Amino acid sequence: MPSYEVSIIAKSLAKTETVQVLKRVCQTIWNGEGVIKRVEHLGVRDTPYKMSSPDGQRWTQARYVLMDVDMSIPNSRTILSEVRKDFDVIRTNAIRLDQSFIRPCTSGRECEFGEISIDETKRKNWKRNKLKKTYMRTQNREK
Amino acid sequence: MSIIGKLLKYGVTFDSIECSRQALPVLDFVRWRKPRWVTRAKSKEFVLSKRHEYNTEETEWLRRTENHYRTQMKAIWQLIKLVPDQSLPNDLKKKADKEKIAKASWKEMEERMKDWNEQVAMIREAEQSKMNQQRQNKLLGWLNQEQLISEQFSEETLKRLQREKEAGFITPENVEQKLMESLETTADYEFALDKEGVRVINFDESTEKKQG
Repeated sequence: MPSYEVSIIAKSLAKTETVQVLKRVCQTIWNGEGVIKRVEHLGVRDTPYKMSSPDGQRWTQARYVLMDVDMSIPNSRTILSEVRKDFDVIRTNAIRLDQSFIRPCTSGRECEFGEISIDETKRKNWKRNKLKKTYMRTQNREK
Repeated sequence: MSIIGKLLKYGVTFDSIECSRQALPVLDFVRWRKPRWVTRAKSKEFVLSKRHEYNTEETEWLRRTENHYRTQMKAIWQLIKLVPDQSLPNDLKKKADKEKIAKASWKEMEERMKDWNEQVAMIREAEQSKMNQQRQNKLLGWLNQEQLISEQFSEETLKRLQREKEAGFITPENVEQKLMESLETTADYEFALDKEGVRVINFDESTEKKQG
């Protein structure tokens, strides 16, 4: 399961009410077989422009929250679509996080001395892009 | 054929005669034919050619002999049709023998083919049984592998759940507590870093500096 950073812009409500809003969001993620690692609160801030919630109210201030979530790619869409139906959530979006490089020594594997092996998929993609670029260049020259 | 060709045919050589245009009209034996567009000569307009006279005795003899031949041949053909066994016994015998030989050879061939088919079937069945066994073994191996993987997966899932508990992930049991904790604190990422690693929160000089 890839890891995502889910950003939530909720209504600027009281703490007890926001807890319930975030609980509902957490429940939808768990229903979609997701794992919530961490929740971060960025405070109540001014929105860049007037934002409207699904129930039609206009908001100039909103509560910003970040969540580190692991979820499958097909389930991520359904989760987001369900979260967007919530009246107290103004905006949501998920950004996929790149897997940070972990040293083989720390992860328990044997140490690979010398050059670290690159994945074959990455190598193939790099080669394909390179070949495509060269091919386009040659075509342009011929023209 | 050209005139020179005719001359050569009759044995005339160019050494003997002066071959020139002046000399050619002299030769009478070369037939002169009337061109087609020229009309018939008036001297030959009403001329009738003599009728050919046949010899009557000869013609009668020829007719008689022909009739005799035809009757004889008719009789022979009728005889062949009526009595085939007596007239051509050898040919018929040969035919019958050929048929018998063909039948016998066909039977032999069938028997031989049966034997061959049996031999080939034995080999084929043995190979097929071997292939089936190999396939069965492969499938059983896969099934065993799948079982092992499922067992490992279940173990891994249990381990994962334990790890989540240890790492402090958010679960339905500790949701409210975690959310309240997170809402009490606010994280700020609106800052820059100096070369010395100092965290600059606002770019104005009047603001405070915090060490990161």
